[in-house]
Amino acid sequence: MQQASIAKVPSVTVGRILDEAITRRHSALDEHSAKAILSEIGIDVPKRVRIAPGQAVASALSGLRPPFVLKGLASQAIHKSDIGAVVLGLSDAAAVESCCAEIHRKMVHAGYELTGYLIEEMASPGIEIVIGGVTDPQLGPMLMVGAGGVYAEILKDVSFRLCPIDARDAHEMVSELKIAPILNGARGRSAVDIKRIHAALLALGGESGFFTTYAAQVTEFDLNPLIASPDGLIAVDSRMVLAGGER
Amino acid sequence: MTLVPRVEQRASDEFAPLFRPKVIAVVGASATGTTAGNRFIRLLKSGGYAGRIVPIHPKADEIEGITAYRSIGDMSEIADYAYLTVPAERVEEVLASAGGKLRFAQVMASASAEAHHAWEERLRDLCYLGGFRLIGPNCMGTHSPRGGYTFMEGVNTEAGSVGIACQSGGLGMDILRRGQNLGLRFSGLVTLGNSIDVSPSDLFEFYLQDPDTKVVGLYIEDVKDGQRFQQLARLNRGRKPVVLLIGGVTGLGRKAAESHTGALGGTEQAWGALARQTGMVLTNTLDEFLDALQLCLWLAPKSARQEPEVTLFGNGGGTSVLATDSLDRAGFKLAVPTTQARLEYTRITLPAGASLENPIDLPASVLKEQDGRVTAKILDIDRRCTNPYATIIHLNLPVIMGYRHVADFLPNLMNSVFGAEEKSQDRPHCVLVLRSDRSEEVDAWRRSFRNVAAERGVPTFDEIPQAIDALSVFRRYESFLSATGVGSARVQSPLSRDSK
Repeated sequence: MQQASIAKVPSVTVGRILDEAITRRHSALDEHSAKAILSEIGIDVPKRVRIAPGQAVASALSGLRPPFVLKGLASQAIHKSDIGAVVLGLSDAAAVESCCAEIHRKMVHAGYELTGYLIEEMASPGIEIVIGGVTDPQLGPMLMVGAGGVYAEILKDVSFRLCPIDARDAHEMVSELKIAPILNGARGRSAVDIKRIHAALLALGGESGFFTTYAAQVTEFDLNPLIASPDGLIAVDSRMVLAGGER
Repeated sequence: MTLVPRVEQRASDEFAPLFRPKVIAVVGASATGTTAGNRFIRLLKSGGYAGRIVPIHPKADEIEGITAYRSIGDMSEIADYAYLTVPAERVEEVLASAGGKLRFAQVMASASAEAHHAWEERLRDLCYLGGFRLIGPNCMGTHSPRGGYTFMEGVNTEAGSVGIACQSGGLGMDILRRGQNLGLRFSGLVTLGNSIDVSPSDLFEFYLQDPDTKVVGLYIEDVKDGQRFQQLARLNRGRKPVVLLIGGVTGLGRKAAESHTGALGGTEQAWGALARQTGMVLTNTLDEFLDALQLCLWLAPKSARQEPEVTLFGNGGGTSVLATDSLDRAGFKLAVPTTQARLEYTRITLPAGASLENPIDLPASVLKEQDGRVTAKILDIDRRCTNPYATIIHLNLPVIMGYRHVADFLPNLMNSVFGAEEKSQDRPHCVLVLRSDRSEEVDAWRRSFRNVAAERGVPTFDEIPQAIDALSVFRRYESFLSATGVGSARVQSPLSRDSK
C-alpha cells in the first residue's frame, strides 16, 4: 500500500493531471491518473505499475507483491468488470502476461481503445464502501458516501451532502448509512478505521477538497469500491468523468 | 426610455416599498370594470389600503372612480408597486414608458410557449435598464398585510409572522387560504412565477432580515441562483426556521449518468443534503408544508437530548392503539408516568374503568366530569410531573358533541388543553388533533375549536398520524439546532436588521 500524507490543498500535480487529460479531450481519467490524484490528496491506493500495450511484464513487476490485479486502461469511462477488463488474484508475471491479450480482446470487442495496463497489488479484504461526486444543476457539486461494490445502485444505502462539507457533515454522512453499525464493528467484529473515511470525504468534498475545487473539470466520479478495514481505507477502483471530453 | 442605475442595497431596505407601498399603479383595469385589474382596485379599496391607487390606461380618464394616467411615466409620483394584468403583448410598452417612476412591477401575463423565452429576455432588459425590479411573469400577485393590500379576495389581512415566497400562483393561493384556516397569519406572501428578475433568494434574504417574519416558507421549482440561496441558508443555519417545499425534483438532474453516484444522486438528494446541512425543514406535500409552518411558528425548540417520549391523551380506544403504533414507527415512545404523577392521579376521582396509564384513554363521558375540568387536572399533572417531549391531545368530536348540553364542558375542555402556564422549552410540546366525521355540523365545531387553538398558538391536525409526522419533522430541526450549538433558544438571525 502506498501511504500518502493528507494534503490540505489540491496540489499542482492534481491540476496538471486534469489539464493534460482535458487538453487531449479525454472523457474520463484513466485509472492510473485518477489514482495518482487520490494519492496526491491523501487517499491510499494500491501499489501499482502502469505498462504500455506490448511492454514486458516481468521487469515491471519488481517491487510489487503478489497476488496481482490486472486491469485494462482506457481514456473513456468504462465499467471494467462488466466487460471483463479486470482479472483478480494473479500469482506471477506469467499469469499476468497471459491475461493481457484476453483483456485487450474484450476491450476492443466492447468498442474501447486500450491505452495500457494497470498491474496492482491486490488489497486485503474489508468492507466495501463507495464515495462519489456529482454536480446538481441547481445547487452545485455534492458528495456521496454509501455501501459500495457492484450492488451499490441496487442497495441505495447512500447519503449526500453539498460541497463544501465540514467535519460534522462527514461524520453524519457515515453515521446515516444502514451499514454504519457494520463499519463500527457489529456482532463482535473489529471496527473499521472510520476516521480515514471522514478524512477521505473531507479531502474530496471539504472546503478546499478535490471535488469542491475541480467540479467544473470533473463532472462526476466514483471511488468504488474503497475497502475499509481496521488498518485503513484503500481505493481499489476509481472513475473520474471529465467535462467536455469526446464521448 | 430612461436609464436608471441599480444600487446595491440590503434586501430589507430594497423590498420595503413592495411590502409597504405608498403608491400602487394598476395596469390593466378598464373603464367598463370587469377585468382582473378592476377587481384588484376594488380589493384595495375594500381592504382599506391607505396609500394612493393610480389606474394606468391609454384612453380612459377615470377608472373605478379614480383619475387614470396614460403611463406610469406620466404619474406625478413614483409607483412603489405596479400590478400588471395586461396581456403579454402590452407588457413591454407599459414597462418601457415607466420613465424611472417605478420600483416594483409584478407581471401576471405569460407569453406563448414559442415566444416566452425571447419575451422574458426583453422584459429582463427593460427592468435592468429601467431601474425597477420585476416580479414574475406568470404569477398571481402579492399579499402584504403590513402594506394593507392583497391579491386574493376573501382572505384575512391581519398581519402575522409567516413570510412566504412561492414560484406558483395557484399554490400561493392554497397556502394563503388553507394556511389562514389553520390559523397562520402572514408577514408577506409573494408569488414569483417564472422569477426572471426577483428570485426566491431575493425574498429569502428579505424574510431572513425582516424582523416581522419569524418563520420563512418557500415553494421552489427553479431556484435560479443556487449558490446564493445556499450561502443564505448556510449563514442562517436554522436560526430563523425555514420550511421548504420543492417541486419537480424527481425529474431533474438525471442526465445519462456515467457513474453510480450520478445515477443515485439527483436534485431531490441535493435539496435533502442542503436541508440537513443548514437546518432547513424540507417537506414533500402542501399539508406537510403548512403543518411544519405551524410547528415552527408556535413551538419553542427543545433540546434534542430530551428523549422522544409522548403522552397520548384523548377519547377512542382503537384510535389510541393505532396512534401508539404510529408513534413507534416514527421512533417515538410512550412516556411512562412518573411515581409522582401516579400518586397525584390517584387523587382524581374517576368513574370505574377509566385508566390513567399512557395512552390516557378516557371516554367522552369521563372527559365531561366536573364540567370538563378533570381534563385540566390530568394534563396539568402530565406537564408538571411526567413532562414528556410532547403531549398529543386527540378529541373525537362527534362523540364529544353528544355532551354539548353539559354547561361549560366544551370551553373548559379547550382551556384545559391549552394549560395555564406560558409555553417554553421546558414544557411538553402540546398539539391538538380534532377528529371529525366530516359532517357539516362537526366540521363547523372543528373550525371554531381550531380558531381558538390558533389564537393560543397550539398546532392543530385532523388526524393523529399527521401530528406525529409533523413532530418528527420538527424534531429533526431541533436536532440540527442542538448539534450545531445554535441551541434550543430562538436567537436572532445574523441577517436580521436589528441584530447586534
